[in-house]
Amino acid sequence: MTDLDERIARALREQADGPVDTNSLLTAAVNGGRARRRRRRAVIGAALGVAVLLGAGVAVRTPSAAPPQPAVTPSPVVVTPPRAPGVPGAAERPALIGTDPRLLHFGVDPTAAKPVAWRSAAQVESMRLDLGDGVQAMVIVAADPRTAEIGDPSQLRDIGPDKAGAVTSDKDLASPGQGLDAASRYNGVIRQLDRVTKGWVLRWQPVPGLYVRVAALGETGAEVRRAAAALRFDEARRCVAPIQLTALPPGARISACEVAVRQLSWPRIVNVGGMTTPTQMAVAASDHTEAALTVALQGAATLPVRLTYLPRPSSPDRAKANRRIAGRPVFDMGDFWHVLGIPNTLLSMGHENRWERSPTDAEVSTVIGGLRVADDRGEPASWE
Amino acid sequence: MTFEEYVSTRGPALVRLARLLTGDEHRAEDLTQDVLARAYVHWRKIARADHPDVYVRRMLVNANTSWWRRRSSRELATAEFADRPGRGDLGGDAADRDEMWRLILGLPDRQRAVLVLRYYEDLADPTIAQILGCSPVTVRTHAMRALSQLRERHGVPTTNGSRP
Repeated sequence: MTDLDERIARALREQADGPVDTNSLLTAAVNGGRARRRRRRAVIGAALGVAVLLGAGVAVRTPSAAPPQPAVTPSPVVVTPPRAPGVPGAAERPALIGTDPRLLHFGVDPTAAKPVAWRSAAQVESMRLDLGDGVQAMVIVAADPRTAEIGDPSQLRDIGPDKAGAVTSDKDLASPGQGLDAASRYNGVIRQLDRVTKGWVLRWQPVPGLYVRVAALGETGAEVRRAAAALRFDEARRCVAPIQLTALPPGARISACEVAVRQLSWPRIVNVGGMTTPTQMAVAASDHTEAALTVALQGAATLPVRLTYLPRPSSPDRAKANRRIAGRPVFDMGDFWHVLGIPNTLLSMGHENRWERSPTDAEVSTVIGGLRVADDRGEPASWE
Repeated sequence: MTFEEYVSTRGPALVRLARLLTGDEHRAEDLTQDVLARAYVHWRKIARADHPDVYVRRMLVNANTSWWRRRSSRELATAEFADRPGRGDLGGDAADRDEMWRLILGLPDRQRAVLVLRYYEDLADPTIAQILGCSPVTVRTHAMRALSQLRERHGVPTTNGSRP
């Protein structure tokens, strides 16, 4: 063992040491397990009841029963994410922001910047832009200034609105209790981000009721201005991803769409409390594609379906399937499922929020049954 | 082995593993309780597996990864820990361990998991690969990158002594 090995081992031992109350752990685990089992049975019972009442035909939501897609005509130029003709942009109707996870209500001038990640979720839409020469910018768009600051309103549920200002490290953010004044910060002034070397943020309102926050790294605020100038709020784009879910469980809907196709050279950090970010978006490694579609299930539960694609052969001995679901080989971990057999791709779905119930087997089977994976997962222009 | 027997014998080790994966004692207890509660529901299936402990540790690693994905695998405009204690507050060895731990904590979660499973749990690469759901080659790649970063940041000269 080298000196480094020993230092690592010593550091780990010191951090791991400490008494563990095994009785409390056992009690909590058994109680939690029993509660989880009760919830699962209740949900299955309710689902069966609905199916009996309405007929088995509604147990699985088919593509034809899904909400209609907005009319889309092919774009003469391949731009990713592609345009959604006929859909009003945020400038025309700011209230549409974050209302349909299949859409982004703004776009980018492709000659000025290239989107490398995009996300549409409840009340907020975002993009990460490649401005060239290794410069990237983050764009957050919302119809509410507090949401634009936080980036994802779901975080408010966990931390409480009053604490929202306290948990971010961006001191430029409106402090707690100043929520009503947050809009006044969207005044077109570029500010330097606190404690970030060469980090700049620009907030403004392109039209009343539309709040945009752009952040970038640079020697001056010029990169932020460049990113802001590339944005187009008179158009809409589709949140395309290399996965599609063509069937959803009864009462379920897709609540968020998130794709990242290129790496971000943006400072990432985890603060000690784990409570962090006003700019939420997945970060993909340089040659990875990452995508996630979040399914909001009936009964305040979610089932995120995540895909990671690496354009190189993946390990041949990745977990072997222990069952088949809807004809696909799956490694079933109880409440986490890995869908196998897709070359160079890790596709998983499962329970991620400990405060929510786990998805039922029927719900997972439906989602996997309707899963469609793009043939070329590394080429966004080919996704539909 | 019953669920109660498993938790009584392996529970403390799982909590300690979770402390290293999460870097937070309270979060580690929550995570372990949550994973064990999930394991309780499926215990008959887990107990029938060849290596129930590998299975449960895999659940723990995945749960931690999922949690970070949801909460912290995000972009954040900040650069430093605000409450980082000065090294002058600690003795030499303690400061060294503290600095090493902070460096380990700053590694990507898969790399950190490999180091924890290798150096704390003292597991062989094939077992680590089973837990992480990847190949032993990937495990070695994660370990190599992690060690390389630690060497670079901790000012340790490059040697060939460490396991790659």
